[in-house]
Amino acid sequence: MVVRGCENRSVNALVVEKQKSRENLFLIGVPCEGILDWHKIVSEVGEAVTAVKEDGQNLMVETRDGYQLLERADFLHDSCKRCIHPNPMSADILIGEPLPEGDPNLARTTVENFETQTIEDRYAWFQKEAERCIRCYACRQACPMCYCEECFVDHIEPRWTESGATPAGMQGWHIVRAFHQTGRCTSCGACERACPMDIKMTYLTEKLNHDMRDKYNFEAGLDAQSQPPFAAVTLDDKNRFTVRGE
Amino acid sequence: MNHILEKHTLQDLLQSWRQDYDVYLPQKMENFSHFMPLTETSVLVDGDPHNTRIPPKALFLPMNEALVKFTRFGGYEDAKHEIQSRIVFGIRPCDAQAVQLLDTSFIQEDNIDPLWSERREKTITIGLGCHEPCQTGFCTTVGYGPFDRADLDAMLTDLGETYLVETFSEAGEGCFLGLPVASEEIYNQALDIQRSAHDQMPVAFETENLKGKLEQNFKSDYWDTVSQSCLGCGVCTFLCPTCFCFDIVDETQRRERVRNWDSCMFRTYSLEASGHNPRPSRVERTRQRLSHKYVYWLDQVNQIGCTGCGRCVRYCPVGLDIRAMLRQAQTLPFEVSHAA
Amino acid sequence: MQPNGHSLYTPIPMHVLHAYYESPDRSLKTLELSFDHAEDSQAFFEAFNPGQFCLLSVPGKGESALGVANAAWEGDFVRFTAQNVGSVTAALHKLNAGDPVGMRGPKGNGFPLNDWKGKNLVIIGGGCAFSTLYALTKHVHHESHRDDYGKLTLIYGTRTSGLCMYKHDIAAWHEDEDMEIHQAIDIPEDNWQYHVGYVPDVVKQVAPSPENAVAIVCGPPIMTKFTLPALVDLGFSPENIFTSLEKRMKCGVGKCGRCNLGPQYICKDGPVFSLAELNALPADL
Repeated sequence: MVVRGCENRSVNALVVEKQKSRENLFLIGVPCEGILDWHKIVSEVGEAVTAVKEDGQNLMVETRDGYQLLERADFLHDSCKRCIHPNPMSADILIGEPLPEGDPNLARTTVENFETQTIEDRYAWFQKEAERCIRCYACRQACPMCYCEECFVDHIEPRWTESGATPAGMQGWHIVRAFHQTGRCTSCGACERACPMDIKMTYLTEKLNHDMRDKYNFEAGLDAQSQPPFAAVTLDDKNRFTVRGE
Repeated sequence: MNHILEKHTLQDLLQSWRQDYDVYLPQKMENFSHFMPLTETSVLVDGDPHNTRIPPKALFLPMNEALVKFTRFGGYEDAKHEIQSRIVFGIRPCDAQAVQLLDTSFIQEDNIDPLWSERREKTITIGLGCHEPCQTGFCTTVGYGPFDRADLDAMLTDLGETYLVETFSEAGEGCFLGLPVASEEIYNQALDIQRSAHDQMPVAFETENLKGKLEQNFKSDYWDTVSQSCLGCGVCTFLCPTCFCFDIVDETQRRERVRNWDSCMFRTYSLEASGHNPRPSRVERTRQRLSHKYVYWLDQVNQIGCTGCGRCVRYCPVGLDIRAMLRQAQTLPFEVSHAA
Repeated sequence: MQPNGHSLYTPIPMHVLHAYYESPDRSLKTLELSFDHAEDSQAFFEAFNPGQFCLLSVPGKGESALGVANAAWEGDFVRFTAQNVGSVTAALHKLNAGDPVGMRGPKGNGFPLNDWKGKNLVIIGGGCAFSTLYALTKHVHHESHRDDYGKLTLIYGTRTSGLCMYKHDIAAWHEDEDMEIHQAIDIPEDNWQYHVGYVPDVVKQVAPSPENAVAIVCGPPIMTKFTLPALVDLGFSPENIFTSLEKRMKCGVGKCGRCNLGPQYICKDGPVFSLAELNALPADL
């Protein structure tokens, strides 16, 4: 497998969850400079785009009427802009020169922009994003960590959330989807890239990722051994929910 | 009759329709346009060559709606929906064609979907032809066109400062009463634009024998190849103007039986209670999606069930391109003797 | 719109008249339903033909497609036998006499009885899919219709003797000179006096004559898959072999797309197809 930083983390996280066997994989690592967001290019240049060429830090956009030069860094996907670990950390071989690590403070901005709002504003934001959902589940299908044979939304008895594109159904999907990622999300941003409705989702998962970092000093996928804090159960766990009585 | 509509008077005209109708037109939502009801403060999207992201089938078949209400003591009644008279303005010809195709399924003699049919009856559709080709559309390839009338009540052609308005029905004419009649010269100018738009649309793939090739190669490994990168999400089907599958689900708390858009690309779509799944993988599901549009619709109504709007191409998260898939299908073996 | 003026999707109100288990393991339960309104009953029987199905509805659980298991002459009720497999059928199993239940139907084409007049009928059923064949047999066997058809042969297999449905009638038919009946179980049992083996093998062994005959096959997919070629080998032409298809259904009126098979919808254009028709459809079952 050819992997970028985020994909290497996802492979590690899947190995931890016993979905992949590391011995059966040979990882060819590629340091990643981020993926271009064509939505951003089209909204800048318009419908007439016919081709885009990468040229160092520039983008050469060919249109029906001529050419346009754009700066590559401005047209990256949001998750790539704030990427902390662009280098694959446990590849069997690495192709190309490692890139400098990203700025963790930059990665915080999405969460901080959200967290610093009032509770009413946060709910309004959440509603506005979630309620554009058409329940196509592109976010789930694109997510490297969503591999359940039966997703909670497809479960009939009990039904966990309203089935359709109703406010309750859409909010239920987005909140539970995010919570299922606690300590598991590898910040690849595939969910937002796949969404046909441009719904922001990473402000929720990144918030959970930050909590994991702050409270448990844990980041998903940095190695292929560490269990997500909420999945690591030991018999001498000091919380009582694991063992009845005592 | 043909009229001339000055663009700067459009807002007033639309507002005047609100006295008698709910008016729906594409308006900006986030980074895209979306059919929404016109309000006093609505801002018109001018010159957006993008089609709306969600096709206007949603105006006739909402993503979610109640079909049945559960009454006390185990009874049932029809779910009530107040359906107002509406004008849908700015519908693109590909989408208008799609709605007309869907009529053949929802409005059949003795077998009429009451909600679809009432919404259709109470809606005046005013089209906006596409004078500039869009990036991923391929309407002319599948037998339609950027200025097709379908069963639109009226259609607009963008002439810069003005629109030419062609009306095709009494209801359509009623919306533009009192507007000046277009001169022969202007009408001819519009026809040139329409023809040129048609000619600018590239041929995305050949359709000759395409149906037969897909039919005869039902068991070909072609389907493995073209479905390989599919994620199994519902983007292509939900954003498709001709996809109409729905699921029926009981929402206990609402005491309602509702329908939700569904997709043949989902695993659960064809999964039976016994555990048997006739379409167990993305290979069979991809085959179903393409065959439905390019084989079964032709058997049913002798029209391709794809109007070439290009949404599935544009929004597929992994860049699967139905045009490329069908170009590849054209290389499949085909025996003329077997063709029906 | 339905004859009663309601939407296509709205069930008509029914009540459970009788409810009883067909099998000692309680996996099969028969419900006989009466109509709450006489006009619904009239509309039902005007449209009804053996081989059709209805959608039974339990609020909060959903709807389940079940074949009608009675003939019109039996009286003003509708009979269904449900196997407890999913959440709706589990809810149906909880119903008892006097409980309300919703129903939509009859749906689908049913058996082409008029085309079969004057012919010998070979009726082949397996498991709980026998229900519509039971309706067919009851219809054909009735004195007012019996002269319309030739020889009547019935082949019915179940996994065990306990899973045989409608035991009272089956026992009576064994004594009936007018009918040739072959019953089979998959697994040998003590004191079993009929065939032991799978239905396709029993069909080969019994070898019904294809002469002026039609064969009707309803059973689990695996049984149907092997019985159809066995009949072809016996000399039945594909035009004279019929089967009833099952696929996941929702709307029952050819709108929701779910039971789509090529250009056909099983709920509306089926569920009964001849093998000749089936051969022309894509292998998407």
